[in-house]
This record gives sequence, C-alpha cells and structure tokens, in this order.
Amino acid sequence: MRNFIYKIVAVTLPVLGLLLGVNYFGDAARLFDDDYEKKIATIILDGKNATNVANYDDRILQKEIITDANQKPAVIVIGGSRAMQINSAFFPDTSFQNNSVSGASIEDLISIYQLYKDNNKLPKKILIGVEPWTFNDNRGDKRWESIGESYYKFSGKEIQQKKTKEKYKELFSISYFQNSVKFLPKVLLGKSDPEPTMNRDNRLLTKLSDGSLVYGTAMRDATQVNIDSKINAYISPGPVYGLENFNSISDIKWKEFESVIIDMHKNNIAIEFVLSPFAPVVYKCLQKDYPLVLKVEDRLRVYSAQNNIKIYGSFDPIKCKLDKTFFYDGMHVKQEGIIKVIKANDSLL
Amino acid sequence: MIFNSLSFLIFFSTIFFLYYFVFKENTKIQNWLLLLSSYFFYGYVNWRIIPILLVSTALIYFTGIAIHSTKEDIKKSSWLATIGVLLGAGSLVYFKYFNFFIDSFSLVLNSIGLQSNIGTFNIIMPLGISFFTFKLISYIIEVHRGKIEPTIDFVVFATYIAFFPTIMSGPIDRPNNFIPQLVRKRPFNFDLAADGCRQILWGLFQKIIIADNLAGIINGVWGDIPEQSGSTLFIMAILYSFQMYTDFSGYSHMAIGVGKILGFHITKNFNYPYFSRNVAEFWRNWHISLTSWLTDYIFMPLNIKFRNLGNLGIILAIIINMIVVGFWHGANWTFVVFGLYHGLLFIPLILTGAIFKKKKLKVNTYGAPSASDVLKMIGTFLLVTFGLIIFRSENMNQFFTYVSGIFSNSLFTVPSFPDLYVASITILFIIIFMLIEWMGRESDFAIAKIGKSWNTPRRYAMYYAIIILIMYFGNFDQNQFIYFQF
Repeated sequence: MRNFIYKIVAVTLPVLGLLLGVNYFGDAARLFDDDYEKKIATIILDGKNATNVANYDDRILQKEIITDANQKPAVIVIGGSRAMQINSAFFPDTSFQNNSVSGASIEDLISIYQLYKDNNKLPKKILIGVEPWTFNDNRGDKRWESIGESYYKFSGKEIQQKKTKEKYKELFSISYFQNSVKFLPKVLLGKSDPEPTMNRDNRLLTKLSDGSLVYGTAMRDATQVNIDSKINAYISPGPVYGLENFNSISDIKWKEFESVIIDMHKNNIAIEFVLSPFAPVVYKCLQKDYPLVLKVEDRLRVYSAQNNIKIYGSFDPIKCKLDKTFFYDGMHVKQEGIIKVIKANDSLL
Repeated sequence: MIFNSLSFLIFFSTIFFLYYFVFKENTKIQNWLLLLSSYFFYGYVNWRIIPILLVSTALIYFTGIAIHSTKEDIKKSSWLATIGVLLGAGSLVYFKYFNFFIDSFSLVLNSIGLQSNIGTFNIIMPLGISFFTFKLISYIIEVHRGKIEPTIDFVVFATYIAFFPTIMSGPIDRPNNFIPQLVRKRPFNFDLAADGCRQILWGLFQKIIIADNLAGIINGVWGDIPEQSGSTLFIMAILYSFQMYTDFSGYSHMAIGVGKILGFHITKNFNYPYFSRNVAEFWRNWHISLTSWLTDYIFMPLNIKFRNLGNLGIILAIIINMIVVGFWHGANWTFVVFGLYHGLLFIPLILTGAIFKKKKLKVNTYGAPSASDVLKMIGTFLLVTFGLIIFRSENMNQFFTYVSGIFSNSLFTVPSFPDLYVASITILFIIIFMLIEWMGRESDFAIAKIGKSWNTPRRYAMYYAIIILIMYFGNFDQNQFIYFQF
C-alpha cells in the first residue's frame, strides 16, 4: 500500500509542479504579472503604438492610461471591442482617446466615465459604443470588477471586495496550462513584454497610441473562407456571445445607462451613440432568435431622439450597406466598414 | 459527476482513504462505504432519482429470496421470476419508452385518420436505468435458473446494483461474477491497483484527447448538415465512429480501472472491435457486457425456440436480438433501424457459415495483418460507420439528408473542418491510438503490458508523456459521456 501511494505521489508531484510552473511563468492571461498593463500604458502615453500585446486586462490598462495621461482628451470612445476600431483619424484636429474594453458592460461604461471624473479629465465629447448585451441581466460577465470601485463610487453602492484569490485557482487549471504553454517560449526568450513601435500594422495585435486597436496579420489577412467559418461559428448551436438568457431589456441596467447619460449632460459633455453592425448572417439569426436585440436598437433610437443624441450606425448591416466582406468575424467590423458607418454621417467629422 | 473531473478525484480519494486505511479489515463496513458512496455518486446530479433505484433494488432483492424459497414449486417459482423480470423491464419501459409508445400510437391513429389527443407524460428518465435494470433482470433469471443463490445480505445486493464505477454506463456485470467479489475479503492488491491506474490513464487518453476533441469537431457539422460537402460528411461519419468508440471505451476503461483499485475485476467491455473482420466478430468485441447479456437472455432462448427453422431460425433470432440491442439505446425509431440494419448484416454471414468461424488474426514477420484481413477490417469498419450515421441521427429524415449529402457531387472535394489544427492533431492521435491498440491487442487494454518490462525511468517517462499529452492536447470542456444518455 505504502509503495502504491509513493508511486502515485512520484507520478503526481512532478506533474503538479509542471502545471504550477507553466501556469505561473507562462501566465497566458498575465495574472501574475502585475506590471503588464502598466508597460503597455507607458508605451501608449509615450505616443507610441504597443505591439506584441495579448491577454492583458483591458480595464486595468484604461485605468493606467486615464490616471497617468498628462492631458485630457477632447473626444473619447467608451464601448466594447466592436468600438475599438474607431481611431484618431476620424478626429484629425483634436485630442482623442479610445477607452473601449472588450465585452463592455454597463458597469464598464460607468467605471471608465467615473475614472475620467476622478482624474478631472472629462472630455468634451463621448462616443458610446452601445451593445445589445449592455442591457442583458443574465450575461454574468464580471470582468468589470477589475475597476469595479469606480462603478460603485458612481452608483453610490457599497464597494464589493474583488476576489483576488480567484486568480490563484488558475494555477491549478489545465485549460490555463494549455494556453500558458504557448506563452512559455516567449517568456523564456524574454520576448513576452509589449514592444513600442511607430508602425500601425504589425504581425501581432497592436494597441495604437490613441487607444484604438489594430489586429495582427492572422486576423487582417484571413481569407473569406476562414472569415465565413468564424461567422458561422459565432452563431453555431448554443447561445450567441453576450446574449445568453437575454429574456428582457433589464430595467436596472437601462436606468444605470440613463443615469450616466444624465451625469454626462450635467457635465456639458456632448454624447453620441455608435451602433456597430453584425455580419449579415449573424443579424438574420439575431432577428429570429434574439428579437430583443432589435428592440434595444429601437429603444435607443427613441431615447436618443428624446435627448437629442446622435446615433451612428445600426446593428443591421444592410442599413449600413455592409456585406460580409466588411467583417473580421461575426461581430467585428473591419476598418473600411467603420469608415462607411461613420462617414455616412458627416456631423461626426 | 464524471470520472474526468476534479470532483470525482476528491470523491474517489476520500473513498480510497476510508476503504483501505480506516475499514481495511472489515468487508462489511467496506461494502457499506461502497453502497453509501454509490448512492451519493448516483444522486449527485439529481437526488430525486435515488428512490427509484432503491425501490427497484428492494423489490428484486425480495423477489430473488422468494424465488429461491419456492424452488421446489416450479410453477410458483416461474411465476415469481416472471413477475421479477416484468418489474425490472416494466420500470425500464415506463421511464424510458412510455412516451415513445404513446407518440407512436398517436402517430398510427393519426395516419389512419383517427384524431388522437393522447398527451405524453413528463417523465424524467433516471440516469443509468438501462444498465442497472439489466443487472436486476439477470439476477432474477440466474436465481431462477439456480445458477446462483439469492443474496441475503441486502447491502451486498444493493452495492452490486449501484456500484458507482459502473452504474451510469456499465459494464453490466453479471451477479455470478460480481456478488462473490463483494462477499470475500478485499485487501489492497498492488498489482491490481497499479493495473487499474494504467487503465484509467488509457481511458483518459481516449476520452479527453480523442473523443472530446472529436465532439467539438463533429457536433457543429451535425447541426448544419445541408451546408456541408459530401467529403466533409464522409470524414465526419468516420470520425464519429472513433468518437463513439473512444468515448465509450474510454469510460469503460476508467470504470474498470477504478474497480481494480478497489479490488474488483469488472467485466471487459471492448476487445479492439475495429480490428474485426466481419460484423459478427465486431459485435463479439463491442459493448461485450451488453451483447453477451442479450445473447444469453434473448438470442439463445429465441434460437432454441426457432431451432426447427434452420438458418431462418438463426436469422430471425439474430434480427430480433439486434433490434433489442438498438432499441435498448433509446426510445427512437432510428435505434430500431440501427438494430435492424445490423441484424440484416448478419444474414450473409449466417448463410455462408462465416458466423460460426472464429479465425485468429495472423500477422507477418513485421507484426502486420495480411492484406485480405486489412480489407475485411476496413469493410467492417465502413459498415459499422454507416450504421452509426443512423445511430447518431435524430430521425430518419436527418439520416437520409446526411447520406444523400455524402453521395453528392461534392464527395470528391476537399473536406472542411471547423478547426483544422484541432482536427489534424486529433486525427494524428487516432492513428497513434490505433497503432497502440494493434500492438496491445492481446492484452486486456492496449497499454496493459506495454512498458511493463522496461526499467522504471523509461516506464515512468511513458506515463509522464501520456499525462502531458492529455494535459496539453486534451479538451477539458467536460463533455458528458455519450452513453450516459442511454
């Protein structure tokens, strides 16, 4: 028996050690590198683009950028990954920052706005990339908790302590191991840090100095067949991203949305909404299976008309005159698509 | 709770500790531990199904004793046995097939112009009912046939029925094999436990690397059949055959391995079925515990009943047997057709007498099979694959859509995969897996003997390599085992 236990331990311990070691040092999501976002922010605030960036915490990065910036931007964008393509080229004569974070929720929009308030850097104009899932109560995305204290401050709610121990669970995760292994060679070769560059289009993901995002070559140069497959995967069986159990437009989230708009108006900030379209096939699926997405747009249009807020774009790609060639995947519009959406309305320029 | 989960690891480690360190000298308490842990395991997902298991067990337990006590009165004993079998089969029919029969009955009435308003019932099918019911029935039959004495110790009997490694998806152990193991002392057996660990490792490799990665590739295609090319559908059908095999065989290996660590020899369930050279051989090597059960309790009695009909009798017995095999899997006409299809495949074997020939595989000096055997294996595999398309289809329309999709103009185009990288790696692993299976085909499981004669560092290197491969290439989305639904 003792021999058996020894042998089990002899097999298990090195494997456990390997798991912990790779997860800690490979660290795919940069959970154990507290300075990673600061390194990206430093490059961006230095006026350069940061490439070789991956799996950073968007929210922490925005916090670093907003806190450490020397000047306040005149125009900012707050939204999700679908708003990250909006860049300073649309605003040539003014200071601009895109503060979008992937999978943005209402809590993210509020937190980033509050960060600007706290640092006395409120801009003159805010473009809000509104998503259907902004009003989905059942989404369960908690990424906003990284900068949750700003949300609680705005809402006047009691601060909930973030579960910092959660990240240590990842040390034992095999899924995390599978991702961290891929990063390990870079870490061992000392090539895991973000790199400053003046180039816009790079092999890997690049965060531009204006906060907007340029995808790496794999995404930019993907063939249409590949893109079609990504589009189909987006609507493959199972809930569509962000829309799981989207049974009703949440009253709570809508009220929170209204309250942040009112606060922006109080601070004399011009507000505009940007609705990024979905790929045509995806939109058809949403029409059929997620009709609330259309209702969100309708409600936003009524609200913006009542409050004199301009809306650019639509979730409907046909309204924006975009076919599937304007998309990277099921929900992310290429730069040319964004230009079409935005230029359709000159008042933005 | 599935074997390849952290919750099972914690659960099993706790049992292992109590079983061997706390109760090691006391078989009765070990049995109590096994029974309670089996009920915990069974009720982990839904505790409401526990009473069904408990009541079925108790009824059959008392029926078994009653049959034995009336053994002098053959008529009475037979009546009791019939009641026992009906009790077991009745619960299976009620929970698994009742709504199917109502639906089918309504369909028949509607098809002859009669309006039917019979509604179906909201019946929740208890997990593993097809497996534990077969154990209950075989117990009654064996007691009635006088092959075993009824078990007086209720804990022993209930543990046999509910034994946690096998309750969800088998193997379906026979009472004469398993109950004696529960009665005797089970001190820790190093060789058996080490063998069990190796078998679990092999099961994990099959399940996590091959079956679960294939699930991710195949499921999307089945959800969108009309959009797929013929070549894609053909490749996916072949991959599904491997998914089905590695998923179920992987589960069985893990169940048997867990049993070995606890000191039990559980019935073997697979014997390298994809090296079979005809369908009869395939069914002797596939889901052995089910097919042997049905052979003993369905085929043999029917064969005896039809013996005057010669080959026709055998054909009839086989077809009925195979339909039962198919229908056992679920309440759907596709399973009936699946069984019928396999039954029909037996006809040429019966007529040519090939069904009775059991030729051993011959290999050349390089250890490879002859060309004719390879062709027979491929032919059998393709026939099985075709059958599995019926098996996987939700209805016959879907089956026809799938098959007509295969035999379309696009059959000779380049197949497309949702994720080419995962597909390529998984296919590579299937090839490696089949080679290892071939090398280890004389053993209980493929890696049972591989490396046993190696020195410790080399042997451990093999274990580490398998573990690291599982960790790196495995799919840990915890896909349920396919056979849990049956």
